[in-house]
Amino acid sequence: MISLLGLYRPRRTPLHRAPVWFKMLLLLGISITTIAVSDPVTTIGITAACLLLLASTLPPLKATLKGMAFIIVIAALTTLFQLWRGEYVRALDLAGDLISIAALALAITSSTSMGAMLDFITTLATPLKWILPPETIGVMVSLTLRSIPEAARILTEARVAARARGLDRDVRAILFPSASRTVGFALQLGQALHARGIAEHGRAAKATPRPAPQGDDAVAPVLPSPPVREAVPGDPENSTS
Amino acid sequence: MAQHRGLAGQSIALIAVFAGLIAASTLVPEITLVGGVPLTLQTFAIVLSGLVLGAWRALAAVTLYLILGFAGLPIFANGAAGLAVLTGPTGGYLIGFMLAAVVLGASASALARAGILARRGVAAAALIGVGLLSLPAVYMVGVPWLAWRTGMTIMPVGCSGLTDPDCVSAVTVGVIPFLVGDLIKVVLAGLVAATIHRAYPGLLGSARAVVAASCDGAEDKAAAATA
Repeated sequence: MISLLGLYRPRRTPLHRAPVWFKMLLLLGISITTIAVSDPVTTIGITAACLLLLASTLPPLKATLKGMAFIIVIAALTTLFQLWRGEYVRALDLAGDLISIAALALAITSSTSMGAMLDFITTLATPLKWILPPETIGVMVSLTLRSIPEAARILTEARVAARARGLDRDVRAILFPSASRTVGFALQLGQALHARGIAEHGRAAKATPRPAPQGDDAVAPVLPSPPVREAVPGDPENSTS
Repeated sequence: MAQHRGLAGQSIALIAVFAGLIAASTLVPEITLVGGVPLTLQTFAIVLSGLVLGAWRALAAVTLYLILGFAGLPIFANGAAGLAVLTGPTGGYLIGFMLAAVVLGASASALARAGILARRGVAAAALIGVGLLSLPAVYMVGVPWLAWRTGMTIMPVGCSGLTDPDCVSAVTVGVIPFLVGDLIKVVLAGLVAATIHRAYPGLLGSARAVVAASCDGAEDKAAAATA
């Protein structure tokens, strides 16, 4: 029914072993090149190279074909449209651009695990760490992964309930309960995070420690601050009750 | 804690759950409307995030959804995944989603500060009106991107008939077929967002405005929320 298996398969091809930043630079470079260059020979060469790179990562056949099918349809329509207008070189150039970049992007997707890609993105976000500490990004990513099946479950349950009442064609009977249940779930999750002190002190922990209060002005804290605990990915099943 | 408010637990949970909702909305089978018209929920979920969360949290939720998709989770429309979607001809729509989230979130926060969201009847109309801003926001980025990647012109120029090549443009291919569905989704999202703001006041803006507005109406807020 709902498949969350991406394109990635653990293998030992050269592209699997290449570092993520190299692959992203390659994608950026090839994208700029294909857009800047409109020479037919170069276009065919780059397209062939990208398709070979995609093949070299030994991707799962069915999922790859599904991923490429959309692009190939678009490229075919574009080609037909340009041929119709009589612009043969431009047709080749545009179709080549579309297919080569899609093939390269699929090659990267099929050779990079999600963890590696998320690590790379977290590294890219390092300059933002005063606003967005890396731990917070980690917490948000793992909570999102946890809430995808939860949101899908809420939506599915709302549809089953609507069908039981004979309202399965009534969009309001599905969307109103599922949306408000989703917000309620989020607020409960927020309370659970707050109770555990997760991500509450993301910035405070990085900041310089507060100077000790002096004199009679010092006000003793009424309540102890919640304990700072390490964010454990995959932990939020405790907080969904 | 005031300066950490943007990252407090509640915000983080809302961001993560709405990113999960956007992702899940592409995974569940589409809803069949009366007449057998299928309705996918992705645009609905994006518009709803903007209207419910406010600018920054909605931007974070949409960005988180996009990042997970780029990292390889098959959560884009039609089960697509990875960077190929961004670099493809429809990648502009994804960037447009981020713009739409910010625009809608900022406008919805302004409505909340003005106390409009606490008034029944007005709230839904105002939220639908704000939600309509999402169409230009998404298409403003998506259509030129589509035109650029497929070599079409943006607007049909000198169009004379169905067989005229000049009629094929990014607007006729990428906007007009989806316009009615998008309008339906925006209206639904506005109605749902109004319900959510009634059930959970204080999600946006200050709770004081909510209380003040509801006191003006001399109406029990809890009764209104559950009515």
